[in-house]
Amino acid sequence: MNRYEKAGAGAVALMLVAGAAIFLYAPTDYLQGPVQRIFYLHVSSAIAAYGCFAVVLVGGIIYLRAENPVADRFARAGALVGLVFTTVTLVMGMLWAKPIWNTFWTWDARLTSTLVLWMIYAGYLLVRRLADPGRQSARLAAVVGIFGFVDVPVVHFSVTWWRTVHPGPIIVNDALPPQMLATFFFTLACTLVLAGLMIAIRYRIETLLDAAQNVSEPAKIIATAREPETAR
Amino acid sequence: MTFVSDASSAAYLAVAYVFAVVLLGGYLGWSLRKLRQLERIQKGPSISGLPPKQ
Repeated sequence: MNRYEKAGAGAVALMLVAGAAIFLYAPTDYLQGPVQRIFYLHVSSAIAAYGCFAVVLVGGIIYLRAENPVADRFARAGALVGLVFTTVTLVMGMLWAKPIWNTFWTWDARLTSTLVLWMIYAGYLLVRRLADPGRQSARLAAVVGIFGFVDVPVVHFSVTWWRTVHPGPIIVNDALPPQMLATFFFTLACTLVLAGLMIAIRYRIETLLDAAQNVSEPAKIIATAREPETAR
Repeated sequence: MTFVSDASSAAYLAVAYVFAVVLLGGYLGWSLRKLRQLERIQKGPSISGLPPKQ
């Protein structure tokens, strides 16, 4: 078991404790019933996704300024992990909306801006995948990542800027009883640890892929250069 | 907002958490497996003929 696998086991254990807090410690909401328990991971995943996209933003800025490959790798890792957490946020939100709003989806400002956020970073990853790897695609992706981050404050403040079906901020408004609040902060901490670990693992994968490419590119060039010799 | 029966509410709750566990757990497992494969390749014989990195 390498150190990443040990850390992964630790993160899974933390998430299991968070699960126990969500299902056994937090009280059941009087109005919404058990489905309100979706809140803990739904909101934590959204905050983890914001953090991941902040990594893409910072990585993109550093890459454009200094062409630092480490920053670019962190940006790539942040985008993928952020997309995973945004997917969790969207799907859990839809499953929470169905029994409460009687629909899975409505074109509400919060939901729509979150879907746009998902599309932006899916586009970012598509740029990375389709463009030839190298300086040009890294610079293009950095620009997409930087401008894409503009949507993060839009998502966050959409519930205060526009009239939405989605509930407004409840944590800062002190609208939760202490047990729910404690469960939320614990789940948030565990989710952030998991997101941080996922970024670290992905960063390591990107480093190894870059190294493999740096080895295979000269090998391809040598092979191409030798082809006419062997033909003769 | 509507009052929700506990049974249907619990069903949506279960589906939501099963989805989250499958996606997050699946992604974590997949990335750890991918990392292990890449590290094995890196430790293997290199094409340059040089000894593998320690």
